[in-house]
Amino acid sequence: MRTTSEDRDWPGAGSRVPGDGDTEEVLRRALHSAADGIEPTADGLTQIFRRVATPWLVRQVWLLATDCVDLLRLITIWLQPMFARAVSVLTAVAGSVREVFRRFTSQAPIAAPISSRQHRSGTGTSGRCLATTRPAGRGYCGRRDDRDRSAQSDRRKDRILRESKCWQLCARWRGSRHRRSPAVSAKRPHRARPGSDKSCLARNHRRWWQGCYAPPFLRHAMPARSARSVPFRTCDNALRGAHCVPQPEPGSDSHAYPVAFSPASSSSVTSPTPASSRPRGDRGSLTHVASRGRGDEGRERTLREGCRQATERPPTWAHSEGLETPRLWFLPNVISSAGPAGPDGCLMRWPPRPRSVAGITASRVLGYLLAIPPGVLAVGWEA
Amino acid sequence: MFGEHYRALVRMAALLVGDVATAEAIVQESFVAMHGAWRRLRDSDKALPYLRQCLVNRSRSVLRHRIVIGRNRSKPKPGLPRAERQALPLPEHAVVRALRALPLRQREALVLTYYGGLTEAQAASAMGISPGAVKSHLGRAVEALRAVLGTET
Repeated sequence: MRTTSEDRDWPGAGSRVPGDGDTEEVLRRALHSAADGIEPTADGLTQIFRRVATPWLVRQVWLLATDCVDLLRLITIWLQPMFARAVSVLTAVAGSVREVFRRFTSQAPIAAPISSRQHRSGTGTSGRCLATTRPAGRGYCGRRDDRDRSAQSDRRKDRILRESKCWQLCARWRGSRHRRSPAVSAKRPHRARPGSDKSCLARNHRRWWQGCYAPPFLRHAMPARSARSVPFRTCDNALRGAHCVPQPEPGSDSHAYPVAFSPASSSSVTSPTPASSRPRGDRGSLTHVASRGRGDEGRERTLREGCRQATERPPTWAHSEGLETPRLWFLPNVISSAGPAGPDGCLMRWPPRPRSVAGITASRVLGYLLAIPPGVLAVGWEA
Repeated sequence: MFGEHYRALVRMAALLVGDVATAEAIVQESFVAMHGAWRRLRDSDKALPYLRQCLVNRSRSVLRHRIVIGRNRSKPKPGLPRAERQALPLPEHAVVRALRALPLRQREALVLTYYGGLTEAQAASAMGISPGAVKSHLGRAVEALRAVLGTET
């Protein structure tokens, strides 16, 4: 038998069956017993008066501000996973960029051709104009450094990185004190690599580039990587772009490579003191040649006394490849922009002549016409 | 009107929102709203239904806001006591716990009908729904409470 309420078709109608009045009564008593103990505060009317007395606009603004605070809190909660994901992504990107930047900037710069502007920028008496090498540009040293790093040992790599970092810190303002204004020097002194036990070499040897030796054929005639079998090494200052000398045999003097610049004996071999170990102001035993301004005296002396070829060839890549490259070891501070001016023109012209067949042929023809022995005019570049 | 209905309205709002302070605020706001809309009330007898309707609407807003807050709130550690349980001044009665577990409309219908003593039409007017919907919500609420109370007893 169906009841009246069961005949109704709205939802939930069937639940109210007759006979559950006791349940309703129980619920009514339970609710009253739970709520009758609640006593509101006595200042209810005062609160209502205060709310009524509050201007409508202020009350609305206050309510709006409260809602906005809640809304901002909700938005923050909603966006928290997104923020965390964005932070993780940005951290990863920053790490990769930092790694790329570190790899890119930690490469040791090497020598690049000096510009005429820089060559002429020095004074005539201090000898600064004799600085004939300068730090290479970033792209240039990057290619060179890639070639070097492929064949160097891990220890050498670490050293290069460490010292090149020092160079980078100094080269940020182009490293040379005389090129910076005193104000800049006072504000930004030379800095060593953070955490390095070595001081800044550019600061201790501010003219390190003058004591470096730059065989031009190594600078401008670099073979392809596959054609080079003997690894290069750079001397201490070459890490900052001076020159490249052959890798000595283990146990031998690392700086005992032949340099002939003596008028007394054509076979004399001089071992220049590395610039990094010289005291300040001493540019080595050979720097007296160019201690005058703009290299004039050194050039005259060179022209007068002549250049001597090295009696021993270092085991360079050219040597190992069997290339006939009679080379002359220059002091870079006798290099002048004036170029060879005499019959013993062993001075390198700057910018250098192109190492091409046409150039070589032209120089030989000119040498024959002028009765200049071939190999003198183009000495240092190509036989 | 305040002396006559304020306390009952606060208790009713406390049953709805589960918090006395919030209930007082809701009732006070309802009185303020009624004060602002007094000129629009053509009949003074409609002031109390207006108050009940304001109370139900504001309680609904508060509960919805709490639902959103609780949905996005981080989960507390299992050993820590719940803050909302500490903030609830109502006695831990079985009916109160069961009432808190009910849906919003069923809770409103149950409180207005059984505690407020309203008819289904009055409750429907206060809730803004039809009397049939009130009966439906009421029946489901009683069924749920019966199951809960039967289990606990």
